[in-house]
Amino acid sequence: MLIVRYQTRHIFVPTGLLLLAAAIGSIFIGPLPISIQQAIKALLNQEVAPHVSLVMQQVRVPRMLLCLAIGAILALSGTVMQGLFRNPLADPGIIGVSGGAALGAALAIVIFAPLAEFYPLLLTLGTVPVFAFFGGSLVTFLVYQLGSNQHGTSVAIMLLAGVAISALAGAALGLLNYYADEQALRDLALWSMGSMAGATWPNIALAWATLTTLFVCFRQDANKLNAFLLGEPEARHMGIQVEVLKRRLILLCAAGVGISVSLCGMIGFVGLIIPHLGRMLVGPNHTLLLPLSALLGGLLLLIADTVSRVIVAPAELPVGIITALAGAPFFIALLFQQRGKI
Amino acid sequence: MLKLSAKTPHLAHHFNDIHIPQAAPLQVSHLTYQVQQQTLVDDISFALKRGECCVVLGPNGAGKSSLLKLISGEIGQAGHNIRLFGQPRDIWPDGLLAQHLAILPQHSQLSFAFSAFEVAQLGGLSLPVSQHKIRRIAEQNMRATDVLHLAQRAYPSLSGGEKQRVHLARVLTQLSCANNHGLLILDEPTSALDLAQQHKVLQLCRQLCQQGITVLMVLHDLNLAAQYADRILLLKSGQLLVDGAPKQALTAENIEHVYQYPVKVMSHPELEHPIIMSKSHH
Repeated sequence: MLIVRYQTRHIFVPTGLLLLAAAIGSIFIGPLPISIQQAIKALLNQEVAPHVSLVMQQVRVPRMLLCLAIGAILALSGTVMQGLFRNPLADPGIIGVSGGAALGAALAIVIFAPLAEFYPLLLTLGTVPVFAFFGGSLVTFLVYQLGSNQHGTSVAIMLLAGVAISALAGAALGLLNYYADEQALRDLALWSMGSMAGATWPNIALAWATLTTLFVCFRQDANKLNAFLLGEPEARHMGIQVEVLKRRLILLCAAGVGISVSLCGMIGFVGLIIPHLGRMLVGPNHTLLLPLSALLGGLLLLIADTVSRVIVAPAELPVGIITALAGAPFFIALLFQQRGKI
Repeated sequence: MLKLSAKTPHLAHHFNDIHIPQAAPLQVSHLTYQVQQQTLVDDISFALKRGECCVVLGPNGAGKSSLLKLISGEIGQAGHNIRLFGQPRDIWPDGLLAQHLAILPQHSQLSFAFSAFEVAQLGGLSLPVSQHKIRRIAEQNMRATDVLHLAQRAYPSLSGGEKQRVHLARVLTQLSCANNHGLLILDEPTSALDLAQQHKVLQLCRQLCQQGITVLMVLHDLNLAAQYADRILLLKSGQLLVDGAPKQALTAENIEHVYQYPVKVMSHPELEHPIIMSKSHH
């Protein structure tokens, strides 16, 4: 007899504390050793060695803030997509949404590269995220149309569509490499594995604004998303305007994934692992699962990024390698568990 | 009087003078539904009275499911051929409709590990009451459907009958603000259940009818229908051939005509409803 006995609300306090500890820890950990006194002085704008102040204010703090936002965005998008597809294997990376977004972003970089010199902000905050968003939403709609019928969604078609779209996006990205100039080439290299190195203040502002929007919107739809898990007709009979809800959630997810891809490249598996972890802790109820996913997503990406900075110091690994190393075995284990149903 | 939610003022004028108690919960008039030149539902008309327990019978492909789906709005454009509580189905605002019309599906594809209690509470989604109230209503309904002891169990781990009764608690929660003026549609609610469970679910349906809820369901078992229905609709090839009380509707002649199979009809020794037995083909 399986009794549902979730930790419910009590899990939020330890998770929050853990996140706080990781956030503070990530500031001190890195190739350059920084003491607590130095760190506090640097944060308060007091006299410290210039390189310490530079590393603190320009590298570690922005990076920590970006990690928290992007991790939370990816986890929220993953959670909502799994609910939307009524399937625990949906993940923006696996079903090709990240690939579509990366392709959109790459197109923008190559097309608008000549403008970058004069309007750098237009590129990073304007065209690239918008193109990434369009790429992402196009793929999400396509996969949803391909994979869903009146009985629900077909995992096999969903995953195969993801393979095809990722391959297409990869090929197109490779092709774009030949047309890109040197600066664009460097930017493009970032997409393939994901990196947190682009942590500038405008980027951070964009990421946090996106996170806030997603979180507020998703929270309002949390109960509807619960009903949606019963099936589309059932949700409709319960008074939900299913088509409107679906379209809104797909667009929001695509916006989240698109913007995070345009800022940090493709970081896989956060959107897959976190919802599972969250469901193990608080169950599938989205009113609790969504906030917990946001916290856990930030935590996971922060830890992954810290590891990526120190493991081959003074160089650094793309953070996508770390999340893939953790996430791919997890994905295989999930496939193993679900193999009867696919 | 119907209360309109504040979100749908533009529809309010349609609903101005409805007095629900007087209008038939369901009125179907000249309903026809075609797909690719195939007529699945052919000019069907009937109306249900409040508190009636109506069972739709017929062989496979007779149009039973299509009829239910047309009424629930899953397929087709009903136009003015389907009226619920006096109002054309199409002009009901979604949220308000859900408070008066609930559908219990044959199967549910829910595979996420909600607790049974959470599933029952999902029915409260469109209700204009607080979460706290919804919890209390869901609890009452779980007691009524005899699944309260399963409240904390994970839904996917329940048996077919238990799942069905949890869903019944869910749809009852959905109808709880209708002031006993609800229409409940059940699509083969007993198909996955054993003997005792079948009778428990159908007895519960009878109780709901006594409270004033109108029940329309598809059944496959003629004897269950004979025992529990107030009224039988016999369908064949999309047409409504027989409409009447079990004793009048379930005659050997009618059944043989509809199902193309020889049967013998007797009277139940104690309950006096018809009992249908198959005759050998030889």
